[in-house]
Amino acid sequence: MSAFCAGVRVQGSRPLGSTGLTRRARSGLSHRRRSSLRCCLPEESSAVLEVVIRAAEDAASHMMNRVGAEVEKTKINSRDLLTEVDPECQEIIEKHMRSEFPDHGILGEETTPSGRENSVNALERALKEEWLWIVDPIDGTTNFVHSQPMSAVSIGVTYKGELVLGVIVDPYRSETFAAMKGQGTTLNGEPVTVSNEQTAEEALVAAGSPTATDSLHAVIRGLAVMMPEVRSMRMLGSAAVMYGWVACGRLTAYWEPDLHSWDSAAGAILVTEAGGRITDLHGNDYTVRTRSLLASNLWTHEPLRALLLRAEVHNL
Amino acid sequence: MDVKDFDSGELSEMLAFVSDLASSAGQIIADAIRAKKLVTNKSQRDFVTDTDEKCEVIILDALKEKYPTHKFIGEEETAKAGVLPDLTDEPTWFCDPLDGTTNFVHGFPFVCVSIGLTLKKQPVLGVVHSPILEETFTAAKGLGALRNGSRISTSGETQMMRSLVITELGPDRSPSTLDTWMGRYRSVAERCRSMRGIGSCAIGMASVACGRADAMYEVGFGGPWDCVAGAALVTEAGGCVFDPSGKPFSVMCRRVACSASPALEWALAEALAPNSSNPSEPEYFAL
Repeated sequence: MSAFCAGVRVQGSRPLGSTGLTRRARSGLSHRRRSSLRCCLPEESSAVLEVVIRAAEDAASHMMNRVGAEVEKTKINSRDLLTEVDPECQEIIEKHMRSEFPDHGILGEETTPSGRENSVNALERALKEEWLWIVDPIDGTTNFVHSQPMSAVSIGVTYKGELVLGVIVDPYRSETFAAMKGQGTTLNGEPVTVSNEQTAEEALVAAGSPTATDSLHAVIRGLAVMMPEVRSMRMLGSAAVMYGWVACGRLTAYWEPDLHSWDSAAGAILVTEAGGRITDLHGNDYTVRTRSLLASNLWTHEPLRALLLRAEVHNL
Repeated sequence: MDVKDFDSGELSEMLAFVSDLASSAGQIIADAIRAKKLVTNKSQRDFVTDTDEKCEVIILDALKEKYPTHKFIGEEETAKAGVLPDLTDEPTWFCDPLDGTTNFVHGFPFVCVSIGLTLKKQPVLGVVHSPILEETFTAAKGLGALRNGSRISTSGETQMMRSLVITELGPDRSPSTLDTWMGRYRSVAERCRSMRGIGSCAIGMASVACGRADAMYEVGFGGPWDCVAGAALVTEAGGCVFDPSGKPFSVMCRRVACSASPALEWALAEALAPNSSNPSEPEYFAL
């Protein structure tokens, strides 16, 4: 067992101190500690995280300078947009990766043919890589095109198929979210945790604004079932931002009927490392293959998941 | 007796005064959102916080002292009286010291101070100050609309299929209101590019004014203080403000829609028409 792995398991070395945390967040941390005992993070994980943060921040600066870019073309339908800036941001990230870790693989939205089936197949092929960066260079392209300052760079990294770290950079609010397995989640270097709502009635829940027609109808079904039961609903148009805001407690939960791996990889680890939970709609723990999902502050997970099942949001 | 219009000098002076007040209130909000908040229940889903009350005191005391002959219509007084006062032609201030109280209690950044002024029952001035997002939107009749001091305008979008549309769920959760809300949502979502919901009527309208969204609609929000400033912003930014039924905007109804262009107004009203009202929502009435 490497010194790094031993460090991950030592209680005192955690970035999140035990004082000031709620009982619930500590419980979430205990759950993660047990998980981290079963995983062994490779030694270079910290070095990878540093490069991923640099790459994401670099791409995010470029994105912010180009906000309001013209739509180049549409993908699966007229709602699914692509600008020239999306591949530019992906290229910036790839350059960082190739320069520091030339043996790593990348799965990026901009180099994957559009559509659900292509996405699933590309992920299966890519997961053969030992280290894999799963990248959405501009998450929230519709917002980006409309000069709505709500898009982010999202990079999740797997090692032998398991998510080990994630970074989301929101340049409009200068916020960098980062998480590494067993190390907690930080926002601009400060530890953050999910929020404290205990019940669906207290929950502020975010939903997606999907482009695919069947997903849109699934969201409508989900909204209809959720709205009477939760405090309120929000739709921001960027999965990465919504995941980040669940992780730092601004949102209680966020759900989607169908997301690509690059939409969720970073967000999933941010949420779990912040004491939250992310599962498919049957309650199975998230893997990078999960497409229908619910991310929450842990306490509201089961009541919200029950509502989504009732609405049959998962049947895609 | 005819109520006199304000000249541009008077409007500029009022705008500067109100912007300062909004900024002071915004500082209280920003400080509180980073600290623990004391919340008291008003109803199941609408919360009054002590920050809300502090901000209201700051804004109203200063406005009443500076403009003693003006009228004031606000949330707390209306709640105490149990009924909305009538709107006259007199200059009337509509203040929401903290628009987005649900967002506030969750630390969700879309909170703002919204201060608007009507004259002859029409919005003529508005300030929407969003302290966490560090944005201040201002507008006065004939003086245009600004964001952080720079001129803004709507996107000018005419096509629903290319539009980003914002809508919100108000405090009412009765089954008939939720059904109507879902009907509207479905109808608009199927026709537009994408839907958004941020939880602040004023910021939603400011988003249309500065071109980040192309249209917005909401029925059954807390009170007219939520939309007067936004209406001034959108109008001065070159957009349209109207009732979701397609009728002319009426300040006191607690119903509002706005769009980047007249063509989009028409398209949105058409999309909303099959679900234009239900008995448990506020009714349209002309002033």
